[in-house]
Amino acid sequence: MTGSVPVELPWLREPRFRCFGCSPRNPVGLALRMHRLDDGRLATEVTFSPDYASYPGVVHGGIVGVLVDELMGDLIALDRGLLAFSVTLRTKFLRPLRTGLPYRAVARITREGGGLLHTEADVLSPDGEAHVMATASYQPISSPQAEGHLELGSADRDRLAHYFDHRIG
Amino acid sequence: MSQPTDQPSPADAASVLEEVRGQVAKELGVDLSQVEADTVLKQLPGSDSVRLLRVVAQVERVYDVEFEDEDIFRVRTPGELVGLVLAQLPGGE
Repeated sequence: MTGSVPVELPWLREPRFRCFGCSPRNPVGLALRMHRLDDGRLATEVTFSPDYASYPGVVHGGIVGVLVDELMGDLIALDRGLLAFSVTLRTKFLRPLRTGLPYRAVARITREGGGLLHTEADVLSPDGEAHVMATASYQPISSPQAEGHLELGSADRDRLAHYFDHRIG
Repeated sequence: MSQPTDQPSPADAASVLEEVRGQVAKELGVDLSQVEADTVLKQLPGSDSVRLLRVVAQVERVYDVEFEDEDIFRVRTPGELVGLVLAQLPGGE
């Protein structure tokens, strides 16, 4: 059995952050809670209600995309201290996820270079089989991008400045 | 906490075949000796489409390559999967 430690996401203290994937302040979001495995990977446990279905009893593929994207993006933020935009997200759906069943998603950073961070994530069934295998690349957000896209006031920008302008590779 | 930073290592046909054979044997739980370059993957014990797709996804990760879905579903043997990998590596066809 792999041990794990709950992880606090520091940006949740930001009043304007209402991330669909991780913020408990978003009433229609997933409010994912993360924990760190002994091997350094970031993990989350999730059971989707029928509200997240596509076909009856099957979790919508777009929601699965949110799950792995959130986990990989949060891992980068936690481990590299930077906020990033997803550039590419590839998701192989090996088996459908069922509503009402518990799944674990795990993610790790695989490499960096060319200004990008590369990650991978798996969604595992209770018996440990990978039902979804995802890979993604992320670009760190620059200050001009933050200003243009994140709707931050100057006070917010100053407080959050340490998350931006990281150079990769 | 630091994370591993894997870099794809230079690969030739023999090393890619060994990787593919190992991934197949691990996923299907069969002995490595049962998996040769021309083994028909669907005929191996325990083989099904999900497990074979898992093998392909793992091989893509190892070599940091991305196959077309049509090519993936055409693959019948480890040797053909090796061909897909080599075609995408630097210097490949």
